[in-house]
Amino acid sequence: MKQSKKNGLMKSLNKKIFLILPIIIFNIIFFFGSFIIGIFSSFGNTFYENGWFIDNNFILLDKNILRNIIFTFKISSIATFISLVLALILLYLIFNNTHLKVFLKKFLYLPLLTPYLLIAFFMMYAFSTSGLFNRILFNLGVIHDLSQGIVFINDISGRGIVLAYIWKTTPFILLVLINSLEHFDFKLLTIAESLGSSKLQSYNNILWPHIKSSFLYSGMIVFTFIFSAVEIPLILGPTRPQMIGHWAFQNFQNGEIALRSQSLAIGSVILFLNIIITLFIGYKLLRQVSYEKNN
Amino acid sequence: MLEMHQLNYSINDFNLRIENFEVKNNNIHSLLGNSGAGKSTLLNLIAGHLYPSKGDILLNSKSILHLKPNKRKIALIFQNSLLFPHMNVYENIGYALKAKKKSQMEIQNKVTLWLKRMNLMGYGKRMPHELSGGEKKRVAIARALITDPKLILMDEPLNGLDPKLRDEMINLIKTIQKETSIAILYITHDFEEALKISDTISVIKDGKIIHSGIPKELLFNPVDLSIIDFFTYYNKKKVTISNHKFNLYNNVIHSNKDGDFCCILPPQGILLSFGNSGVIIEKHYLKYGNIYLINHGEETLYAFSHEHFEKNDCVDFKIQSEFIRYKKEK
Amino acid sequence: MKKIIKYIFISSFIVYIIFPIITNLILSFSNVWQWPNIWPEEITLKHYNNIFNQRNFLKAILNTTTIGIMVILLNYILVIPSAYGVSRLKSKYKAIIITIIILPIIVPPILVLLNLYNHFLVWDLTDHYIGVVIAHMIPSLPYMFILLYLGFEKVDPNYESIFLSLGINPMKGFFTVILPQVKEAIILGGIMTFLISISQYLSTLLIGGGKILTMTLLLTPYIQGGNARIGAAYGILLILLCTFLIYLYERILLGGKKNA
Repeated sequence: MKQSKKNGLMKSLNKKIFLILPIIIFNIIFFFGSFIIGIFSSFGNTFYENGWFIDNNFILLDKNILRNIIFTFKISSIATFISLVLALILLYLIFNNTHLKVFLKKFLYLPLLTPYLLIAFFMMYAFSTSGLFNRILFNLGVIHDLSQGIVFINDISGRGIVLAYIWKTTPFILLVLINSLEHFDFKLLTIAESLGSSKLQSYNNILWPHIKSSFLYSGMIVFTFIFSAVEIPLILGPTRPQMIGHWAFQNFQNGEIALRSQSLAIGSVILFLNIIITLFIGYKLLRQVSYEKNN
Repeated sequence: MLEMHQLNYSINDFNLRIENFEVKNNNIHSLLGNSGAGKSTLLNLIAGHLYPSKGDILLNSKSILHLKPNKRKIALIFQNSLLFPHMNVYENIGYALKAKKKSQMEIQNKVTLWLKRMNLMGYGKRMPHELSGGEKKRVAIARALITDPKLILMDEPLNGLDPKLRDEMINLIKTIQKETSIAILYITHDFEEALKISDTISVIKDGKIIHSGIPKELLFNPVDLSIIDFFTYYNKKKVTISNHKFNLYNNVIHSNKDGDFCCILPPQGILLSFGNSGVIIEKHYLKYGNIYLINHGEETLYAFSHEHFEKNDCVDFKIQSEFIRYKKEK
Repeated sequence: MKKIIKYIFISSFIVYIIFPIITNLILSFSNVWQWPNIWPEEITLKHYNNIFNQRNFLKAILNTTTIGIMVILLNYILVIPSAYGVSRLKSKYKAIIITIIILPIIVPPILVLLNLYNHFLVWDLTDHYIGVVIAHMIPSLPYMFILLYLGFEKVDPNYESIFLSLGINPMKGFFTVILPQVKEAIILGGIMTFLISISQYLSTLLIGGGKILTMTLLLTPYIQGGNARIGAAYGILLILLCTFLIYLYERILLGGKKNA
């Protein structure tokens, strides 16, 4: 006769652990474990030299690296800003039109799930100096010569990168915003207007608080993603200055051992900042979801 | 037969303590209780999802504490029928037999038998989402009973059904029970339902069983006065007794007490006859007589009678003071 | 007036999305398309013909499919028990465990990749199918986990009490009663995983060492130059595949919602 002092809940946790353990172990070995090994490798061991110093200067203070970081920051901010504004405008234009919303929810899956490499590729052919975009400009009389075409590919200002990213991130933010309004009662806006507020005022006071957090969180996600991304800068980006992710990948793949350690070092710094930001976002989002569930 | 001895279970601030509890065979035993009284906890203990810290549970005189939930041969019926949505009625009912690898022939025979018993002939190929609430319940019961369980646990199974359907289901359950001679533990918070269906009723409150007996006893002679919180049929009135006398529904009552009391009068403490002191505004049918709600001026009171009255009949009532119980008013 | 501006704005956005795809579509069918013509002078199917006759192409399809299937199967093995376990968990650690499992979604791929490659060098898993499979699992596991977790949450926990009371043991009950109820989530998870596996470029390139060719990797030589038209054709085929998968995903998602 088995009489257990443990209450039922504890017992159920014990059994469940075995179900959950495999995936956690996988994550620890390959995901977390890789980071730990990477960080250690960057400091130098038998394989690597210490990647934290270039010619006795601390890596983050190196002129080239700093220039790349600033460039990356600039591009990420611009791209994030444009997609946020664009998504917000589009949201305000379509939020009370159910047909458009349903259509967009399906249509926007396409840019969302297209591989980044493919986007870069397509952009390359569409926006090259002799690409279709410039041809249209020519036929419209905006430019008069091949050499006057707008440069998007590998240009120093990085507009190709921005153009490619907002192609994908604007739909992402827009979808997030549309979904955050799913349980929103639009009658509240008409009520506000009947009480005398203008359309813009009702948007600001009623609609905006509802989407504020999704807006900010998706913005943060987009920013951090663009900051460390590789595939689009690889194809569309310049080499001086370079997006930091692009730089890290290139050095790692082609470079000597010293460059490899530097890539790992830079990677560790970005990783550290990223983990803080993403844990913050992730935890806040989960808390908000469970808050909404309980209400 | 299910027996529980000295059962103890604690979680957070809640303590379940059951000295002795029995569900006899060939018996529908209701467990009546409000939310938080311990009904679900008890159910989980019997089914095997929770383990007591002390005590024993026996099924047909053998302890089942060491048995896992799937070995206890105790059927469960919930308020939500929980039919398997991806199987049709036939597959739902025959599920347990198929999983235990019984022969096609045996499955077919048994399922057909139960379809007949539950008035579900021809429903075999229907899917759960095509069934009405009552039909789903019948399938759920058939699914449980086809395994020949030793005990059936029903957890508020008829909650949410309309009264007519409820009565039909109550009759169905009682018929099935008679045919199979099985023991049923029927958990509910609705005492009218309990009165209609049970052979025995127990009341649980704050983790303790405070009454156990036949329905008539519960209605007329409860062990613990706190039970009357359950019953709408009891008459409760605050009175002030002075000079050992007080007024109750225009009757003068003599009592050996003095002071402020809460006066509790069960319905059988009122004798009804035709007259004109009050008007019958409600009639509730019970197994052994009827309960009438009488309008007397600004007050209402419940009376029990074997005689038949109808709504709007004018009646006189006489109070039998020996039935009155007094509870000190704080 | 306002309405016209509104529709112009929205249409422009939609045109902007479609524009690169249409460009390449036209390009892939063109034989001669000179500046400054908006439409090609000569149209042909020969690029597509060429592709289907190349051995590389067939190898790439084979690799993509094999790797995709392996990733899906391994994902199922890890996710189905854990999503079920976490959904039935009542402890306060639930949020933390979920965060740990879905973290890879929000950590930038390059960070994972550099360190993973480094890690694999030590374990000698590079240039190997299994290395690529693991590299594909890392970004796809969280998505499959979320889909299955949400699926299991919708299954009433009392179903377990029911089949146990019928005398069925927990494993058998899980496979016959619980799992069929999350059928849609399982399929959706598979499609999503396959889509993510196809999209992987850098990880396949780096971890596979260039030796393992997948459909996305076919585009590599066309990055620096080469026949733009064949590159465009590859791209169109790839996006057709992705669109098809997205279409399947939507169909099953909506089909599930209808039956709910």
